[in-house]
Amino acid sequence: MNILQVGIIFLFISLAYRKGGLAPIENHETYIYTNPLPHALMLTAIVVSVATTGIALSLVTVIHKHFGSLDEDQILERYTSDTLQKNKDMEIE
Amino acid sequence: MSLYQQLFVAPLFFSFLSACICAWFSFRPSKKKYTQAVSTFFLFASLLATIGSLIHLSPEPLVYEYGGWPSPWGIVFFGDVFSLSFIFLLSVLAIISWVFAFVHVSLLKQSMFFFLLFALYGMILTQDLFNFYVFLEICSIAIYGLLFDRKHPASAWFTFRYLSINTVAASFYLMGLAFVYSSCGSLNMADLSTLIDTHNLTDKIGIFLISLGFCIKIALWPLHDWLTGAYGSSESHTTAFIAGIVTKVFCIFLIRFFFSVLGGAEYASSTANLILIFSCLSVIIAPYLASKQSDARVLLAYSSISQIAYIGIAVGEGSMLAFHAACFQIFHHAIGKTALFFLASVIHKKTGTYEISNWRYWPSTSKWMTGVIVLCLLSFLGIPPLPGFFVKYWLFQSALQSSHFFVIVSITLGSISTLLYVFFIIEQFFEKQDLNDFASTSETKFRISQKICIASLSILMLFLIGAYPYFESWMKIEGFRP
Repeated sequence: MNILQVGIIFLFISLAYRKGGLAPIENHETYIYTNPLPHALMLTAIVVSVATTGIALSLVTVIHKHFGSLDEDQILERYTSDTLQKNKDMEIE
Repeated sequence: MSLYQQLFVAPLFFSFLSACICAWFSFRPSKKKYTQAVSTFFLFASLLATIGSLIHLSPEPLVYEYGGWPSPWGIVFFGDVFSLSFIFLLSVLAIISWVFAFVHVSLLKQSMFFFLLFALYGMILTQDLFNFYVFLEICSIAIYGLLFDRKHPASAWFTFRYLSINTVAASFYLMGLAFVYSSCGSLNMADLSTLIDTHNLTDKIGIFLISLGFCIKIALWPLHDWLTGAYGSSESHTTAFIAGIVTKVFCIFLIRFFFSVLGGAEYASSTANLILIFSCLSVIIAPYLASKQSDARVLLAYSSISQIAYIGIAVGEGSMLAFHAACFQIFHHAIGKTALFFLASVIHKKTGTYEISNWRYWPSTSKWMTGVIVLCLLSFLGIPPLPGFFVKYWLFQSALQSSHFFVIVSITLGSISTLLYVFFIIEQFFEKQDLNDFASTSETKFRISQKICIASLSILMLFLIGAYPYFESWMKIEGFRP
Protein backbone atom coordinates (compact mmCIF):
# COMPACT_ATOMS: atom_id res chain seq x y z
CA MET A 1 0.00 0.00 0.00
CA ASN A 2 2.74 2.39 1.00
CA ILE A 3 4.88 1.49 -1.99
CA LEU A 4 1.93 2.17 -4.28
CA GLN A 5 1.38 5.59 -2.71
CA VAL A 6 5.05 6.56 -2.85
CA GLY A 7 5.14 5.42 -6.48
CA ILE A 8 2.26 7.74 -7.34
CA ILE A 9 3.91 10.63 -5.51
CA PHE A 10 7.06 10.20 -7.59
CA LEU A 11 5.00 9.91 -10.77
CA PHE A 12 3.43 13.30 -10.06
CA ILE A 13 6.74 14.93 -9.20
CA SER A 14 8.38 13.59 -12.35
CA LEU A 15 5.57 15.24 -14.33
CA ALA A 16 6.59 18.60 -12.94
CA TYR A 17 10.13 18.41 -14.23
CA ARG A 18 11.23 20.48 -17.21
CA LYS A 19 14.62 20.29 -18.86
CA GLY A 20 16.86 22.92 -17.34
CA GLY A 21 14.10 24.10 -15.06
CA LEU A 22 14.84 25.79 -11.79
CA ALA A 23 12.95 25.98 -8.56
CA PRO A 24 9.90 28.21 -9.03
CA ILE A 25 11.20 31.18 -7.08
CA GLU A 26 10.84 34.62 -8.60
CA ASN A 27 13.95 35.26 -10.58
CA HIS A 28 14.09 37.76 -13.41
CA GLU A 29 16.87 36.11 -15.41
CA THR A 30 15.54 32.60 -16.02
CA TYR A 31 12.17 31.81 -17.50
CA ILE A 32 12.06 28.02 -17.27
CA TYR A 33 10.51 26.86 -14.02
CA THR A 34 9.50 23.45 -12.87
CA ASN A 35 5.77 23.20 -12.31
CA PRO A 36 5.11 23.88 -8.62
CA LEU A 37 1.54 22.56 -8.58
CA PRO A 38 2.27 18.80 -8.47
CA HIS A 39 4.60 19.39 -5.54
CA ALA A 40 1.87 21.20 -3.66
CA LEU A 41 -0.62 18.42 -4.50
CA MET A 42 1.78 15.74 -3.36
CA LEU A 43 2.40 17.46 -0.04
CA THR A 44 -1.32 16.93 0.65
CA ALA A 45 -1.16 13.36 -0.65
CA ILE A 46 1.75 12.60 1.69
CA VAL A 47 -0.25 13.88 4.67
CA VAL A 48 -3.22 11.74 3.61
CA SER A 49 -1.09 8.62 3.18
CA VAL A 50 0.54 9.12 6.59
CA ALA A 51 -2.91 9.40 8.20
CA THR A 52 -4.21 6.23 6.53
CA THR A 53 -1.05 4.30 7.41
CA GLY A 54 -1.45 5.42 11.02
CA ILE A 55 -5.02 4.13 11.19
CA ALA A 56 -4.05 0.89 9.45
CA LEU A 57 -1.23 0.25 11.95
CA SER A 58 -3.48 0.97 14.94
CA LEU A 59 -6.06 -1.48 13.55
CA VAL A 60 -3.29 -4.05 13.09
CA THR A 61 -2.35 -3.77 16.77
CA VAL A 62 -6.00 -4.32 17.77
CA ILE A 63 -6.20 -7.35 15.47
CA HIS A 64 -2.99 -8.76 16.93
CA LYS A 65 -4.22 -8.23 20.50
CA HIS A 66 -7.49 -10.03 19.83
CA PHE A 67 -6.56 -12.82 17.44
CA GLY A 68 -2.92 -13.27 18.45
CA SER A 69 -1.87 -13.49 14.84
CA LEU A 70 -1.61 -11.44 11.68
CA ASP A 71 -2.05 -14.32 9.23
CA GLU A 72 -5.28 -14.05 7.24
CA ASP A 73 -6.09 -17.78 7.36
CA GLN A 74 -5.58 -18.02 11.12
CA ILE A 75 -7.67 -14.89 11.76
CA LEU A 76 -10.55 -16.17 9.66
CA GLU A 77 -10.33 -19.58 11.37
CA ARG A 78 -10.55 -17.98 14.80
CA TYR A 79 -13.30 -15.63 13.66
CA THR A 80 -15.49 -18.49 12.43
CA SER A 81 -14.82 -20.57 15.55
CA ASP A 82 -15.75 -17.52 17.68
CA THR A 83 -19.06 -17.02 15.88
CA LEU A 84 -19.85 -20.75 16.08
CA GLN A 85 -19.18 -20.65 19.81
CA LYS A 86 -21.47 -17.62 20.14
CA ASN A 87 -24.29 -19.37 18.28
CA LYS A 88 -23.91 -22.44 20.51
CA ASP A 89 -24.05 -20.25 23.61
CA MET A 90 -27.24 -18.65 22.37
CA GLU A 91 -28.84 -22.03 21.69
CA ILE A 92 -28.01 -23.20 25.21
CA GLU A 93 -29.57 -20.06 26.65
CA MET B 1 -21.81 38.28 -4.68
CA SER B 2 -24.99 38.19 -2.64
CA LEU B 3 -25.66 36.06 0.39
CA TYR B 4 -28.02 33.74 -1.48
CA GLN B 5 -25.32 32.88 -3.98
CA GLN B 6 -23.01 31.72 -1.21
CA LEU B 7 -25.65 29.97 0.86
CA PHE B 8 -25.14 26.56 -0.74
CA VAL B 9 -21.68 26.08 0.82
CA ALA B 10 -23.12 26.68 4.32
CA PRO B 11 -23.77 22.93 4.99
CA LEU B 12 -20.06 22.29 4.49
CA PHE B 13 -19.20 24.91 7.09
CA PHE B 14 -21.92 23.84 9.55
CA SER B 15 -20.99 20.16 9.50
CA PHE B 16 -17.30 20.95 9.95
CA LEU B 17 -18.12 23.21 12.88
CA SER B 18 -20.24 20.59 14.64
CA ALA B 19 -17.57 17.93 13.99
CA CYS B 20 -15.01 20.15 15.74
CA ILE B 21 -17.40 20.91 18.62
CA CYS B 22 -18.15 17.21 19.16
CA ALA B 23 -14.46 16.28 19.02
CA TRP B 24 -13.57 19.05 21.48
CA PHE B 25 -16.30 18.14 23.98
CA SER B 26 -15.57 14.40 23.80
CA PHE B 27 -13.17 15.14 26.68
CA ARG B 28 -16.06 16.59 28.70
CA PRO B 29 -18.95 14.11 28.31
CA SER B 30 -21.00 16.01 30.91
CA LYS B 31 -21.66 18.71 28.29
CA LYS B 32 -23.18 16.22 25.84
CA LYS B 33 -26.65 17.78 25.99
CA TYR B 34 -25.39 21.17 24.79
CA THR B 35 -23.38 19.70 21.92
CA GLN B 36 -26.41 17.64 20.90
CA ALA B 37 -28.54 20.76 20.77
CA VAL B 38 -25.92 22.68 18.79
CA SER B 39 -25.40 19.81 16.33
CA THR B 40 -29.13 19.38 15.79
CA PHE B 41 -29.43 23.10 15.15
CA PHE B 42 -26.59 22.98 12.60
CA LEU B 43 -28.15 19.99 10.81
CA PHE B 44 -31.47 21.77 10.41
CA ALA B 45 -29.68 24.99 9.44
CA SER B 46 -27.88 23.18 6.63
CA LEU B 47 -31.17 21.73 5.38
CA LEU B 48 -32.73 25.21 5.40
CA ALA B 49 -29.69 26.67 3.62
CA THR B 50 -30.00 24.01 0.92
CA ILE B 51 -33.70 24.63 0.47
CA GLY B 52 -33.02 28.38 0.35
CA SER B 53 -30.43 28.05 -2.38
CA LEU B 54 -32.65 25.61 -4.32
CA ILE B 55 -35.49 28.15 -4.29
CA HIS B 56 -33.24 30.97 -5.48
CA LEU B 57 -31.53 28.83 -8.09
CA SER B 58 -31.53 30.50 -11.51
CA PRO B 59 -30.60 28.67 -14.73
CA GLU B 60 -27.06 29.92 -14.13
CA PRO B 61 -25.31 27.59 -11.69
CA LEU B 62 -24.00 29.00 -8.42
CA VAL B 63 -20.22 29.26 -8.16
CA TYR B 64 -18.25 29.76 -4.97
CA GLU B 65 -14.59 30.60 -5.50
CA TYR B 66 -12.54 29.29 -2.66
CA GLY B 67 -10.26 32.03 -1.33
CA GLY B 68 -11.28 34.33 -4.19
CA TRP B 69 -9.26 32.49 -6.86
CA PRO B 70 -11.18 32.23 -10.14
CA SER B 71 -11.98 28.97 -11.88
CA PRO B 72 -8.98 27.34 -13.62
CA TRP B 73 -6.47 28.29 -10.90
CA GLY B 74 -8.34 28.02 -7.65
CA ILE B 75 -10.71 25.50 -6.18
CA VAL B 76 -14.33 26.13 -7.10
CA PHE B 77 -17.51 24.84 -5.47
CA PHE B 78 -20.28 24.42 -7.96
CA GLY B 79 -24.03 24.40 -7.25
CA ASP B 80 -26.26 23.37 -10.14
CA VAL B 81 -29.61 21.54 -10.01
CA PHE B 82 -27.82 18.21 -10.02
CA SER B 83 -25.52 18.79 -7.04
CA LEU B 84 -28.04 20.81 -5.00
CA SER B 85 -30.70 18.09 -5.31
CA PHE B 86 -28.27 15.57 -3.89
CA ILE B 87 -27.16 17.99 -1.18
CA PHE B 88 -30.84 18.20 -0.25
CA LEU B 89 -31.18 14.40 -0.16
CA LEU B 90 -28.00 14.15 1.92
CA SER B 91 -29.23 16.77 4.42
CA VAL B 92 -32.59 15.05 4.86
CA LEU B 93 -31.07 11.60 5.34
CA ALA B 94 -28.44 13.03 7.71
CA ILE B 95 -31.16 14.50 9.92
CA ILE B 96 -33.10 11.22 9.87
CA SER B 97 -30.06 9.10 10.79
CA TRP B 98 -29.07 11.65 13.42
CA VAL B 99 -32.47 11.45 15.12
CA PHE B 100 -32.68 7.68 14.68
CA ALA B 101 -29.35 6.62 16.10
CA PHE B 102 -26.45 9.03 16.10
CA VAL B 103 -27.88 11.21 18.90
CA HIS B 104 -27.31 8.29 21.23
CA VAL B 105 -23.76 7.25 20.30
CA SER B 106 -20.60 8.57 21.95
CA LEU B 107 -19.34 12.07 21.20
CA LEU B 108 -16.28 10.79 19.37
CA LYS B 109 -18.45 8.76 16.99
CA GLN B 110 -20.69 11.80 16.56
CA SER B 111 -17.69 13.83 15.54
CA MET B 112 -16.77 11.09 13.02
CA PHE B 113 -20.34 11.27 11.69
CA PHE B 114 -20.04 15.02 11.12
CA PHE B 115 -16.62 14.72 9.50
CA LEU B 116 -18.14 12.11 7.18
CA LEU B 117 -21.01 14.48 6.41
CA PHE B 118 -18.55 17.32 5.77
CA ALA B 119 -16.57 15.16 3.33
CA LEU B 120 -19.74 14.05 1.54
CA TYR B 121 -20.96 17.64 1.09
CA GLY B 122 -17.51 18.53 -0.22
CA MET B 123 -17.41 15.60 -2.63
CA ILE B 124 -20.74 16.58 -4.15
CA LEU B 125 -19.94 20.28 -4.46
CA THR B 126 -16.29 20.47 -5.48
CA GLN B 127 -15.26 21.04 -9.07
CA ASP B 128 -11.59 20.25 -8.55
CA LEU B 129 -10.51 16.63 -9.00
CA PHE B 130 -7.66 16.77 -6.51
CA ASN B 131 -9.83 18.52 -3.92
CA PHE B 132 -12.24 15.64 -4.49
CA TYR B 133 -9.45 13.18 -3.65
CA VAL B 134 -8.79 14.96 -0.35
CA PHE B 135 -12.50 14.83 0.56
CA LEU B 136 -12.53 11.17 -0.49
CA GLU B 137 -9.80 10.36 2.00
CA ILE B 138 -11.43 12.38 4.81
CA CYS B 139 -14.61 10.44 4.10
CA SER B 140 -12.76 7.09 4.17
CA ILE B 141 -10.99 7.88 7.44
CA ALA B 142 -14.28 8.90 9.09
CA ILE B 143 -15.84 5.63 7.88
CA TYR B 144 -13.02 3.58 9.42
CA GLY B 145 -13.67 5.36 12.69
CA LEU B 146 -17.40 4.65 12.49
CA LEU B 147 -17.06 1.00 11.45
CA PHE B 148 -14.55 0.04 14.13
CA ASP B 149 -16.32 -0.94 17.32
CA ARG B 150 -14.25 -1.47 20.45
CA LYS B 151 -16.71 -4.01 21.85
CA HIS B 152 -16.40 -6.27 18.80
CA PRO B 153 -12.71 -6.77 18.00
CA ALA B 154 -13.66 -8.79 14.92
CA SER B 155 -14.79 -5.53 13.33
CA ALA B 156 -11.11 -4.42 13.43
CA TRP B 157 -10.26 -7.12 10.92
CA PHE B 158 -13.05 -6.19 8.53
CA THR B 159 -12.30 -2.49 8.93
CA PHE B 160 -8.67 -3.23 8.08
CA ARG B 161 -9.73 -5.03 4.92
CA TYR B 162 -12.02 -2.13 4.05
CA LEU B 163 -9.12 0.26 4.64
CA SER B 164 -6.56 -1.58 2.53
CA ILE B 165 -8.86 -2.10 -0.46
CA ASN B 166 -10.25 1.43 -0.32
CA THR B 167 -6.77 2.92 -0.14
CA VAL B 168 -5.80 0.95 -3.23
CA ALA B 169 -8.96 2.21 -4.96
CA ALA B 170 -8.17 5.80 -4.02
CA SER B 171 -4.61 5.29 -5.24
CA PHE B 172 -5.91 4.10 -8.62
CA TYR B 173 -7.95 7.28 -8.76
CA LEU B 174 -4.89 9.40 -7.94
CA MET B 175 -2.84 7.59 -10.57
CA GLY B 176 -5.52 8.24 -13.16
CA LEU B 177 -5.46 11.87 -12.11
CA ALA B 178 -1.72 12.00 -12.81
CA PHE B 179 -2.30 10.78 -16.37
CA VAL B 180 -5.15 13.19 -17.00
CA TYR B 181 -3.20 16.09 -15.51
CA SER B 182 -0.09 15.31 -17.55
CA SER B 183 -1.99 15.52 -20.83
CA CYS B 184 -4.49 18.27 -20.02
CA GLY B 185 -2.67 20.43 -17.48
CA SER B 186 -5.81 21.14 -15.47
CA LEU B 187 -7.79 19.49 -12.73
CA ASN B 188 -10.91 21.64 -12.95
CA MET B 189 -13.89 19.61 -14.18
CA ALA B 190 -15.38 22.35 -16.38
CA ASP B 191 -11.94 23.01 -17.83
CA LEU B 192 -11.27 19.33 -18.41
CA SER B 193 -14.52 18.84 -20.30
CA THR B 194 -13.11 21.02 -23.08
CA LEU B 195 -9.50 19.81 -22.82
CA ILE B 196 -9.89 16.06 -22.49
CA ASP B 197 -9.46 14.05 -25.69
CA THR B 198 -11.03 10.60 -25.48
CA HIS B 199 -8.91 9.33 -28.41
CA ASN B 200 -5.61 10.22 -26.78
CA LEU B 201 -3.91 7.20 -25.19
CA THR B 202 -2.75 9.04 -22.04
CA ASP B 203 -6.26 10.31 -21.39
CA LYS B 204 -7.69 6.86 -22.05
CA ILE B 205 -5.39 5.32 -19.43
CA GLY B 206 -6.32 8.09 -16.98
CA ILE B 207 -10.06 7.58 -17.53
CA PHE B 208 -9.63 3.82 -17.19
CA LEU B 209 -7.73 4.11 -13.88
CA ILE B 210 -10.22 6.60 -12.41
CA SER B 211 -13.14 4.35 -13.40
CA LEU B 212 -11.37 1.28 -12.02
CA GLY B 213 -10.88 3.03 -8.67
CA PHE B 214 -14.57 3.88 -8.54
CA CYS B 215 -15.70 0.41 -9.64
CA ILE B 216 -13.94 -0.85 -6.49
CA LYS B 217 -15.47 1.94 -4.41
CA ILE B 218 -19.05 1.25 -5.51
CA ALA B 219 -18.37 -2.51 -5.16
CA LEU B 220 -19.35 -4.00 -8.51
CA TRP B 221 -19.60 -7.76 -8.46
CA PRO B 222 -16.08 -9.23 -8.71
CA LEU B 223 -14.69 -6.43 -6.53
CA HIS B 224 -17.34 -6.47 -3.79
CA ASP B 225 -15.94 -8.74 -1.08
CA TRP B 226 -14.72 -6.00 1.27
CA LEU B 227 -18.16 -4.37 1.40
CA THR B 228 -20.19 -7.35 2.58
CA GLY B 229 -17.60 -8.15 5.26
CA ALA B 230 -17.54 -4.60 6.61
CA TYR B 231 -21.33 -4.23 6.56
CA GLY B 232 -21.79 -7.63 8.17
CA SER B 233 -19.57 -6.86 11.16
CA SER B 234 -20.62 -3.36 12.21
CA GLU B 235 -23.72 -1.92 13.81
CA SER B 236 -26.70 -1.59 11.55
CA HIS B 237 -27.46 2.09 12.08
CA THR B 238 -23.91 3.00 11.02
CA THR B 239 -24.24 0.80 7.98
CA ALA B 240 -27.58 2.43 7.18
CA PHE B 241 -25.87 5.75 6.64
CA ILE B 242 -22.86 4.29 4.82
CA ALA B 243 -24.87 1.99 2.54
CA GLY B 244 -27.59 4.55 2.02
CA ILE B 245 -25.50 7.57 1.23
CA VAL B 246 -21.74 7.12 0.98
CA THR B 247 -21.70 4.70 -1.95
CA LYS B 248 -24.29 6.93 -3.64
CA VAL B 249 -21.90 9.88 -3.44
CA PHE B 250 -19.30 7.82 -5.31
CA CYS B 251 -22.00 7.11 -7.90
CA ILE B 252 -22.74 10.83 -8.10
CA PHE B 253 -19.07 11.41 -8.90
CA LEU B 254 -19.12 8.67 -11.57
CA ILE B 255 -22.19 10.30 -13.13
CA ARG B 256 -20.58 13.74 -13.01
CA PHE B 257 -17.33 12.41 -14.46
CA PHE B 258 -18.88 10.46 -17.31
CA PHE B 259 -21.80 12.72 -18.17
CA SER B 260 -20.41 16.16 -17.40
CA VAL B 261 -16.63 15.93 -17.87
CA LEU B 262 -16.56 13.40 -20.69
CA GLY B 263 -19.72 14.93 -22.15
CA GLY B 264 -22.17 12.07 -22.53
CA ALA B 265 -22.74 10.29 -25.80
CA GLU B 266 -19.32 10.94 -27.27
CA TYR B 267 -17.45 8.89 -24.73
CA ALA B 268 -18.74 5.47 -25.85
CA SER B 269 -15.28 4.10 -25.22
CA SER B 270 -13.94 0.78 -24.00
CA THR B 271 -14.03 1.95 -20.35
CA ALA B 272 -17.76 2.69 -20.42
CA ASN B 273 -18.40 -0.71 -22.01
CA LEU B 274 -16.32 -2.37 -19.30
CA ILE B 275 -18.41 -0.71 -16.56
CA LEU B 276 -21.54 -1.79 -18.44
CA ILE B 277 -20.47 -5.45 -18.53
CA PHE B 278 -19.42 -5.56 -14.87
CA SER B 279 -22.68 -3.88 -13.81
CA CYS B 280 -24.77 -6.31 -15.84
CA LEU B 281 -22.98 -9.22 -14.15
CA SER B 282 -23.54 -7.73 -10.67
CA VAL B 283 -27.21 -7.11 -11.39
CA ILE B 284 -27.67 -10.83 -12.07
CA ILE B 285 -25.30 -12.40 -9.54
CA ALA B 286 -25.56 -10.22 -6.40
CA PRO B 287 -29.32 -10.81 -5.71
CA TYR B 288 -28.77 -14.55 -6.08
CA LEU B 289 -25.97 -14.39 -3.48
CA ALA B 290 -28.25 -12.25 -1.27
CA SER B 291 -30.89 -14.97 -1.14
CA LYS B 292 -28.29 -17.39 0.28
CA GLN B 293 -27.54 -15.26 3.36
CA SER B 294 -28.86 -15.72 6.86
CA ASP B 295 -27.50 -12.46 8.33
CA ALA B 296 -29.84 -9.56 7.54
CA ARG B 297 -26.97 -7.07 7.18
CA VAL B 298 -25.08 -9.19 4.65
CA LEU B 299 -28.29 -9.81 2.70
CA LEU B 300 -28.96 -6.07 2.51
CA ALA B 301 -25.32 -5.47 1.52
CA TYR B 302 -25.67 -7.84 -1.46
CA SER B 303 -28.93 -6.19 -2.39
CA SER B 304 -27.12 -2.82 -2.30
CA ILE B 305 -24.50 -4.15 -4.71
CA SER B 306 -27.17 -5.19 -7.19
CA GLN B 307 -29.11 -1.93 -6.87
CA ILE B 308 -25.99 0.21 -7.30
CA ALA B 309 -25.10 -1.82 -10.38
CA TYR B 310 -28.20 -0.33 -12.05
CA ILE B 311 -26.48 3.05 -11.73
CA GLY B 312 -23.39 1.44 -13.27
CA ILE B 313 -25.52 0.28 -16.24
CA ALA B 314 -26.86 3.81 -16.64
CA VAL B 315 -23.33 5.26 -16.62
CA GLY B 316 -22.27 2.70 -19.21
CA GLU B 317 -25.27 3.53 -21.40
CA GLY B 318 -24.57 7.26 -21.37
CA SER B 319 -27.85 8.56 -22.82
CA MET B 320 -30.22 11.21 -21.45
CA LEU B 321 -32.72 8.54 -20.35
CA ALA B 322 -29.95 6.63 -18.58
CA PHE B 323 -28.91 9.82 -16.79
CA HIS B 324 -32.43 10.27 -15.40
CA ALA B 325 -32.58 6.60 -14.46
CA ALA B 326 -29.30 6.90 -12.54
CA CYS B 327 -30.39 10.01 -10.61
CA PHE B 328 -33.80 8.53 -9.78
CA GLN B 329 -32.15 5.28 -8.68
CA ILE B 330 -29.87 7.21 -6.32
CA PHE B 331 -32.87 8.86 -4.65
CA HIS B 332 -34.94 5.71 -4.49
CA HIS B 333 -32.24 3.38 -3.29
CA ALA B 334 -30.79 5.81 -0.72
CA ILE B 335 -34.19 6.16 0.94
CA GLY B 336 -35.23 2.51 0.69
CA LYS B 337 -31.96 1.00 1.86
CA THR B 338 -31.67 3.39 4.81
CA ALA B 339 -35.16 2.36 5.94
CA LEU B 340 -34.37 -1.36 5.66
CA PHE B 341 -31.11 -1.06 7.60
CA PHE B 342 -32.88 0.94 10.31
CA LEU B 343 -35.52 -1.77 10.64
CA ALA B 344 -32.76 -4.39 10.83
CA SER B 345 -31.20 -2.43 13.69
CA VAL B 346 -34.57 -2.22 15.52
CA ILE B 347 -35.09 -5.98 15.33
CA HIS B 348 -31.49 -6.46 16.48
CA LYS B 349 -32.17 -4.35 19.59
CA LYS B 350 -35.22 -6.50 20.32
CA THR B 351 -33.78 -9.96 19.74
CA GLY B 352 -30.02 -9.56 20.03
CA THR B 353 -29.10 -11.09 16.67
CA TYR B 354 -29.16 -10.05 13.06
CA GLU B 355 -30.55 -13.39 11.85
CA ILE B 356 -33.02 -12.89 9.01
CA SER B 357 -35.32 -15.49 10.60
CA ASN B 358 -36.00 -13.00 13.40
CA TRP B 359 -37.86 -10.85 10.90
CA ARG B 360 -40.82 -13.18 11.36
CA TYR B 361 -41.65 -11.10 14.45
CA TRP B 362 -42.42 -8.01 12.38
CA PRO B 363 -46.11 -8.67 11.64
CA SER B 364 -46.88 -9.10 15.34
CA THR B 365 -44.71 -6.13 16.39
CA SER B 366 -45.98 -3.54 13.98
CA LYS B 367 -48.19 -3.86 10.93
CA TRP B 368 -47.00 -0.50 9.62
CA MET B 369 -43.36 -1.41 9.66
CA THR B 370 -44.05 -4.69 7.87
CA GLY B 371 -45.77 -2.58 5.25
CA VAL B 372 -42.69 -0.35 4.91
CA ILE B 373 -40.44 -3.39 4.42
CA VAL B 374 -42.73 -4.80 1.74
CA LEU B 375 -42.94 -1.37 0.06
CA CYS B 376 -39.14 -1.02 -0.11
CA LEU B 377 -38.63 -4.59 -1.31
CA LEU B 378 -41.28 -4.36 -4.01
CA SER B 379 -39.74 -1.09 -5.14
CA PHE B 380 -36.32 -2.77 -5.47
CA LEU B 381 -38.07 -5.45 -7.48
CA GLY B 382 -39.62 -2.84 -9.79
CA ILE B 383 -43.37 -3.27 -9.33
CA PRO B 384 -45.12 -0.61 -11.51
CA PRO B 385 -46.31 2.30 -9.38
CA LEU B 386 -43.17 2.24 -7.19
CA PRO B 387 -40.03 4.27 -8.01
CA GLY B 388 -37.89 1.19 -8.81
CA PHE B 389 -40.10 0.54 -11.83
CA PHE B 390 -39.35 3.90 -13.45
CA VAL B 391 -35.63 3.28 -13.20
CA LYS B 392 -35.94 -0.01 -15.03
CA TYR B 393 -38.37 1.51 -17.53
CA TRP B 394 -35.91 4.30 -18.45
CA LEU B 395 -33.03 1.83 -18.66
CA PHE B 396 -35.09 -0.43 -20.93
CA GLN B 397 -35.92 2.46 -23.24
CA SER B 398 -32.33 3.60 -23.33
CA ALA B 399 -31.08 0.08 -24.08
CA LEU B 400 -33.65 -0.29 -26.85
CA GLN B 401 -32.53 2.99 -28.43
CA SER B 402 -28.89 1.99 -28.40
CA SER B 403 -29.82 -1.66 -29.21
CA HIS B 404 -27.87 -3.08 -26.29
CA PHE B 405 -29.92 -6.24 -26.03
CA PHE B 406 -27.71 -7.88 -23.43
CA VAL B 407 -28.63 -5.01 -21.07
CA ILE B 408 -32.32 -5.86 -21.48
CA VAL B 409 -31.61 -9.53 -20.89
CA SER B 410 -29.53 -8.87 -17.78
CA ILE B 411 -32.10 -6.45 -16.26
CA THR B 412 -34.79 -9.09 -16.79
CA LEU B 413 -32.62 -11.84 -15.28
CA GLY B 414 -31.68 -9.44 -12.46
CA SER B 415 -35.34 -8.81 -11.65
CA ILE B 416 -35.95 -12.55 -11.54
CA SER B 417 -33.07 -13.12 -9.14
CA THR B 418 -34.22 -10.13 -7.06
CA LEU B 419 -37.48 -12.03 -6.67
CA LEU B 420 -35.49 -14.74 -4.88
CA TYR B 421 -34.40 -12.60 -1.95
CA VAL B 422 -37.58 -10.52 -1.84
CA PHE B 423 -39.64 -13.67 -1.41
CA PHE B 424 -37.05 -15.08 0.96
CA ILE B 425 -37.69 -12.08 3.28
CA ILE B 426 -41.46 -11.97 2.79
CA GLU B 427 -41.58 -15.71 3.47
CA GLN B 428 -40.28 -14.99 6.98
CA PHE B 429 -43.42 -13.01 7.80
CA PHE B 430 -45.51 -16.16 7.41
CA GLU B 431 -43.26 -18.30 9.59
CA LYS B 432 -44.65 -19.68 12.80
CA GLN B 433 -44.08 -17.25 15.67
CA ASP B 434 -43.24 -18.10 19.21
CA LEU B 435 -44.44 -14.90 20.84
CA ASN B 436 -43.66 -15.89 24.42
CA ASP B 437 -40.05 -16.43 23.49
CA PHE B 438 -40.01 -13.06 21.77
CA ALA B 439 -41.63 -11.15 24.65
CA SER B 440 -39.03 -12.37 27.12
CA THR B 441 -36.12 -11.05 25.07
CA SER B 442 -37.58 -7.72 24.02
CA GLU B 443 -36.63 -5.28 26.74
CA THR B 444 -35.81 -2.23 24.67
CA LYS B 445 -38.72 -0.22 23.38
CA PHE B 446 -39.28 0.85 19.84
CA ARG B 447 -38.78 4.58 20.38
CA ILE B 448 -41.34 7.00 19.02
CA SER B 449 -38.59 9.05 17.36
CA GLN B 450 -37.50 5.93 15.48
CA LYS B 451 -41.04 5.34 14.30
CA ILE B 452 -41.22 8.91 13.03
CA CYS B 453 -37.91 8.44 11.18
CA ILE B 454 -39.05 5.32 9.39
CA ALA B 455 -42.46 6.84 8.64
CA SER B 456 -40.80 9.91 7.11
CA LEU B 457 -38.58 7.66 4.97
CA SER B 458 -41.61 5.84 3.62
CA ILE B 459 -43.35 9.16 2.95
CA LEU B 460 -40.28 10.26 0.97
CA MET B 461 -40.48 6.99 -0.96
CA LEU B 462 -44.14 7.66 -1.84
CA PHE B 463 -43.25 11.25 -2.67
CA LEU B 464 -40.85 9.94 -5.32
CA ILE B 465 -43.77 8.28 -7.14
CA GLY B 466 -45.43 11.69 -7.41
CA ALA B 467 -42.14 13.33 -8.42
CA TYR B 468 -41.70 11.07 -11.43
CA PRO B 469 -43.52 13.17 -14.09
CA TYR B 470 -41.54 16.31 -13.16
CA PHE B 471 -38.20 14.57 -12.78
CA GLU B 472 -37.21 14.61 -16.44
CA SER B 473 -37.63 18.35 -16.82
CA TRP B 474 -36.11 19.08 -13.40
CA MET B 475 -32.87 17.10 -13.38
CA LYS B 476 -30.09 18.59 -15.50
CA ILE B 477 -26.32 18.50 -15.48
CA GLU B 478 -23.86 21.06 -16.84
CA GLY B 479 -21.83 20.10 -19.87
CA PHE B 480 -23.89 17.05 -20.86
CA ARG B 481 -24.16 16.71 -24.64
CA PRO B 482 -26.73 13.98 -25.33
